[in-house]
Amino acid sequence: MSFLGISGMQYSGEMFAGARIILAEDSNVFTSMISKRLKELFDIDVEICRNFDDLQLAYDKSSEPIMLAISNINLPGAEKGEALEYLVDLSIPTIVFTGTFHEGLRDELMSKDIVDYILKDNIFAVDLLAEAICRFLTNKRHHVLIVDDSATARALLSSRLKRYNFRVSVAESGAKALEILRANRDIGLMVTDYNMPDIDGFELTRRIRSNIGSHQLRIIGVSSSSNRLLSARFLKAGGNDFMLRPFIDEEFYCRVNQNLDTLLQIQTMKRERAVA
Amino acid sequence: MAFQADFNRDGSGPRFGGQKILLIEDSRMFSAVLCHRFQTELGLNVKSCSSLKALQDALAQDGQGYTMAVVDLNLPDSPYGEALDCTIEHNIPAIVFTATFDIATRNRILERNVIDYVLKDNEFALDNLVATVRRAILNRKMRVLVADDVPSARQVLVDLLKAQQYMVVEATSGLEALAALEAYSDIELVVTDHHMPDMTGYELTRRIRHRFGSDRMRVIGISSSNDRLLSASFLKAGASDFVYRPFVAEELQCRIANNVETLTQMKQLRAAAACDYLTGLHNRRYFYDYGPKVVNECLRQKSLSSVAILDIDHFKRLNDTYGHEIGDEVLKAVANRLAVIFEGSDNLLSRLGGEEFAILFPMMDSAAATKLCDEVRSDISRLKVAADDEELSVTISIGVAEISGYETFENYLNAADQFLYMAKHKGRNQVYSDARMTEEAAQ
Repeated sequence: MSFLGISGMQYSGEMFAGARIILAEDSNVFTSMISKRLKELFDIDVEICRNFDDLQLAYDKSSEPIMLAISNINLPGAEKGEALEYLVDLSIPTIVFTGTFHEGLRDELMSKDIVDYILKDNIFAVDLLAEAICRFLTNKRHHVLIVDDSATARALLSSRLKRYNFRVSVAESGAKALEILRANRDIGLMVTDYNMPDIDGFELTRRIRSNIGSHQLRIIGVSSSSNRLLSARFLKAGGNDFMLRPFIDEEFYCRVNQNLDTLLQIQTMKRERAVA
Repeated sequence: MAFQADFNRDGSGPRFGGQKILLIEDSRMFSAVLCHRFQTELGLNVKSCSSLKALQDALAQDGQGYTMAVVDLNLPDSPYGEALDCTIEHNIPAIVFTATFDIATRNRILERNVIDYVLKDNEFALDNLVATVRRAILNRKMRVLVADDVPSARQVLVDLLKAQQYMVVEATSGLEALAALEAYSDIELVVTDHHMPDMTGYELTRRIRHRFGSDRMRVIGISSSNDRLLSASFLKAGASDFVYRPFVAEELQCRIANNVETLTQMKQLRAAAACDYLTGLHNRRYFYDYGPKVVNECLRQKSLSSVAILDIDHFKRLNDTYGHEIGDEVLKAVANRLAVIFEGSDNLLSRLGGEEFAILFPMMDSAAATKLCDEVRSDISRLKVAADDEELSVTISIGVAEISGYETFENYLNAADQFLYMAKHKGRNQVYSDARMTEEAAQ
C-alpha cells in the first residue's frame, strides 16, 4: 500500500528485509521507537549499538557491508563525536540523529559528508527519520543528469548526489546533455547550470520542453548570476525550480527530493489511469 | 508564465465556452492567429481591436462582461501603453503582449498590476500567450490562503495573487490560517510568512502537512529572515517551495503558477483514473475506493444504506446481433440516462465493467432503494437507442441489498449480485431485493 510521508515522499510499500542498517543510539525510547517503525515500514531489523564499543564490534564482527548507519553525535565511550568520525572514516553512509543543534555544529556535520541529519526536537522526528532512510534506500531508482561546463562544479554536484545514493550522469555542455537525454529515457531530473558556452540553461530547457514535459523530466536551474530576473525567465521557459549559487546542501537536497516526489506522484497516477 | 510542453499542449484542456475576451493587437498576423486559437483551443469569444480608437469604440458600445484583455503595448495610436491604461480604467484584467522589453518597461507594466506579460521575442510566443490566458482563467477557480501578520506585507501578497485572478483568503495568524482551512475546504495553496506571533510559518506548514498531502495542498513559505537554513527547514517540514524577501514579483508568480500547474496535472490524472473510458461514469476502481468510505460513514452514524447492481438484459445477444459498436452505443445511452437520473444526488453511480453498473445509496434502506430502482428500471425501458436505421429498446434487471452492519465491501456487492440473479431468474426487467423478498414472504 503506497502512501505519502510528511515531507511528501511516497512510500511504495517496498520492503528492504536484507538491508543491513546500524543504529548507534543510547536512548532506549528512541531505539525502540525507531526499530519498531523500521520493522513495520520496511521489514528491516536494525542492529542497535548503545555505545562506541558496540559500534566497533558490529563493524568488526561481520564482513557484510553496512548499507546505512543512523548515528547520534555522542555515544557513551565517544563523548566528543568519535562515533560519527569513525563511521565517516569507514565511508559508511550516515544519517545523523541528534538532539543538539546549532549552526556551528551544522557546518561541522556538513563538512563530514553525511547523508542527512534529523533533529530530535519534535514529535515528527521518528517519521522524518524513517522518510530520510527510505529516501536513501530508494534514491537508486532515480537517474539524475548534471549539466555544467565547469569540471569542478560537476564533480561537486555529482559527489553530493552520489552521497544521497542517486544514479548520476554528467554532461559538460548543452549538446552533450541532449545526447545523454536521448540515450537515457530513465533520467527523471536534470540539474543544469545557466551559463554555458554552447547552449545556455535557458535555451537548453526550452529545447527539452518542446518534446519532454515536466511529468517526464524535472529541471532545476542553477546559477551564480546576480540577475534576479533570471529565475523567473528560467521558470517561464519550463524549468521546475531554480537556485542561486552558493546554495546550502540541505536546500539543494530538499529541492531535488521535492521535484522527484512530484514526478513520482504524477507517474504513479498516470499508471493508475493506464490500468483504470 | 507558460510552461511549454505541458499537459494542455494538445488542446485537450478545459474550454471556457461563452466567456468574452478583448484582443488589442495591431499586427494582422498575430491578431488572426490568436483569434483563431482562443476560439478553437479555449472556446472563448474574442473581440478584436486593432487600435486604441477601436478599443474605445468597443468599450463605449459595450464595456461589460469581458473576462480579460490581451493588450499589445505599442499601437500606432497608443505608443506608450495607453490601450493598457484604458482596459485598466474599465477594470478589465490585462495580459500584456509586447515586443519591447527592458527594465523600465517591465516596471511600468508591473505597476499596473497586470495578470502577466508575454514577450513576442521567440518562436513560442503564441503558445505562451494562449497558455497564459488559459491559466489566468483557470486561476479564477483556485482558492489561495495567505497567512501573514504584517498588514502591509500581506497586502503585497494578496495584490499579487489577486492580479493573477486567484480567489484569496487572508489570515493574520497561524491559528486563523488553520481556521480558514476548516472554513474553506477548497483551498489548495497556502502562502505563509514565517514570523508570526502565535505560530511560525514552519510550524503551520507542519500542521498542514499532518492533514493534507502535497498531492492536494501546496505550501509556499516566505520570509525576510536572513537565516540561510530557514529555506531548507521549511522544505524539510513539507513546504512545496520557499522564497526569501525581498522577492522578484515574477519569480514568486512563477513559483506559485508552477505549484498550481502540478496540482492541476494531478487533479486531471486523479479524475482520469476514476473515470470509465467508454461512458465517462466513475469506474470500478473509484467505486471500490470511495464506496467503503461512504458505507462506513453511514454505519458510523447508525444509518442504513443500500447497494444495487444493475445489468442490461440480453446484452450478449444484442452484441452478437448488432455488433460491438452498437453494443457500445447502448452502453453509452444507458450510462448517460443513469447519469442524468442520479445527477446532483448523493448516490454513487459507477460502471463496474461490461454491461454491469453499481449504485450505492447512502442513508437509504432497501425498501426505498428498491422503489427508486424500479423507477430507474421503468425509465430505461422507455429509452430508445438509434442503431443504423432502427431504434433499439433495452431493459435492465437490478438487485438491491441493504447494508446494516460492518462486512467487507465485496460482501455487500455479492449480496446485491444474488438478488440480481433472482431478478433475472424471475424473467428480467425487474428489481429484486431483500425488501421485496420480505414482502413476498408476508403475502
